[in-house]
Amino acid sequence: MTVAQAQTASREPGTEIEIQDLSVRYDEGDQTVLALDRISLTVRRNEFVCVMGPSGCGKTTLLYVIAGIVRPSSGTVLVEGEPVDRPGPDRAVVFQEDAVFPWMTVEQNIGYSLRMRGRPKEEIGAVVDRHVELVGLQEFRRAWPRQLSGGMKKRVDLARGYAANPKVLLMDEPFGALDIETKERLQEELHSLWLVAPRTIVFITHDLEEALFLGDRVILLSPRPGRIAETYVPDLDQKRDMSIKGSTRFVSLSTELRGKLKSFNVDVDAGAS
Amino acid sequence: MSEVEKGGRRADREKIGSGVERAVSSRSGRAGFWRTGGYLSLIAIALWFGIWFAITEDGFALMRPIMFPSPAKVIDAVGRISHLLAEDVAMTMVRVLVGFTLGTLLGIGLGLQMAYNRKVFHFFNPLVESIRPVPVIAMIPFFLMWFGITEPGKLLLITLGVFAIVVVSTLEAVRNVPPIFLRAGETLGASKYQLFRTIIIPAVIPELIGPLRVAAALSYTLVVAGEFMGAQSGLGFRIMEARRLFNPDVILVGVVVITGLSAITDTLIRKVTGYITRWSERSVSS
Repeated sequence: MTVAQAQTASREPGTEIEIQDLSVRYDEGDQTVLALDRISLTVRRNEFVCVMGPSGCGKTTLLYVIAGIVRPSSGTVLVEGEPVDRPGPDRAVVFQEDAVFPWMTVEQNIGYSLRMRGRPKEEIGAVVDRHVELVGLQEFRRAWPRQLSGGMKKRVDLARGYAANPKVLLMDEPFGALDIETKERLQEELHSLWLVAPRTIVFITHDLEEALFLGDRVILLSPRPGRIAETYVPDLDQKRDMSIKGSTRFVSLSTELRGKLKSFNVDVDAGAS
Repeated sequence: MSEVEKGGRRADREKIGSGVERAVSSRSGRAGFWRTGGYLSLIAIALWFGIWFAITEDGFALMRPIMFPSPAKVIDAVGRISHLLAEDVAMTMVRVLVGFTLGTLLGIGLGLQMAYNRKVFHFFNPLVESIRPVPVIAMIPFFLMWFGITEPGKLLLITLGVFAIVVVSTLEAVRNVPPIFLRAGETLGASKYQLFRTIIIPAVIPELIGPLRVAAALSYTLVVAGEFMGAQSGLGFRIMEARRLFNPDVILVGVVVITGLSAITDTLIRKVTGYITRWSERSVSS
């Protein structure tokens, strides 16, 4: 993928997601568990928001509420002013698990959403071309997913989400299952992809360096019940690669964030949510 | 699943795969034929024919000709009944094809409906569960009483046997579809029908290959049973007829031909489904 120029100019202002007083309660046996407690959060258009927190803090639940997979117990979630009540392609999700359809080739996967919505063939072809290129899989467009490595499959997954042309891209620890090398390469690629093709992204992670590297804003949730504990604005250079993790700014931020997580008295990197 | 784990599993599969390749190439490769012992297969086959020849009438006549035919007699029998064989094979094949197709379509159809609709499931499940363990051959007296020796009785026998296997396998296969695929499809804008067509159906096919092969083999057993209970033609009829006429050579010809048909059918199913599921990891090794 080419290193992208910062295209801040093309990114329009405005509010994309408005969450107000969102609470989610689960019934677990005869107990009611409060997963999210009165979350209020506004995400600007084309903002990259990372949500992180200790295991079980409800960060995935928050993502699923925006996706329309989980219903809020109280409070409202608006995407471009419309209340969310079911899953839909305006809020495509990239999951942690490998969700690339193994019975479709790379290009069939990427064009899936447009095909399901009955778009004309030429449009689908053009969109697929563009996104195959954006994630650098030109040579593999007719390959079956089983022929791809884990990192390449994730690229297909990202491209499929992007190609759906959603208002909001929701990512639930998409790189959580990858080895560190692949993970960091994909973080760089996702960042440059987002610079070239700006999009509102809500990215769930339990990896604080990932959150700081990718996010315009990092929201830290407290342990269950999830509340917004802290908000960080990394404010790093637009153009960045892994070397930025050695910068003074990055180190001091991650030390601060790590300290905050420690104060919750739970393991920092204790697996998935 | 970590990348490392995946890599490990892929490496294992490659190991197994290359092992299979080695075994296969030893059969065709000239060097492997001698080095890895491929010639032993030929010796074994020759040995079996030798024993067969030795114990029957043209050899040491350890078995009475009426009990088991000699190789020469069997070859002779092929010539004698060749004018009947074509019709027998045709009749048997038609019965298998119709019965197997009907049973498969009904089984997949109801299986999908049951998996997709809870009410359909609860209505049909007790029925399916009570039919499933019944050995259909035990029902032959009823088929005889209802249909005599007409075609519908034989077809019903095959259809029922195939249906019982396919319906349960389909239901199970749909339940094994990873929910993550459905969730992904849903968030990408697929309707309920589209989820069914683009996710459930393709995900289910690889799981149905095994059951379909079992069902096809069973259809051949059932068609013979059906033709035993009364028919004017067909390989099962020919075998029974030969027993009545004390022609063990014809019996053996019948058995060999029906075995061959069953094997060809199995190969065909494997080839066709192998192509349809060429995307799946399993199709690499099979």
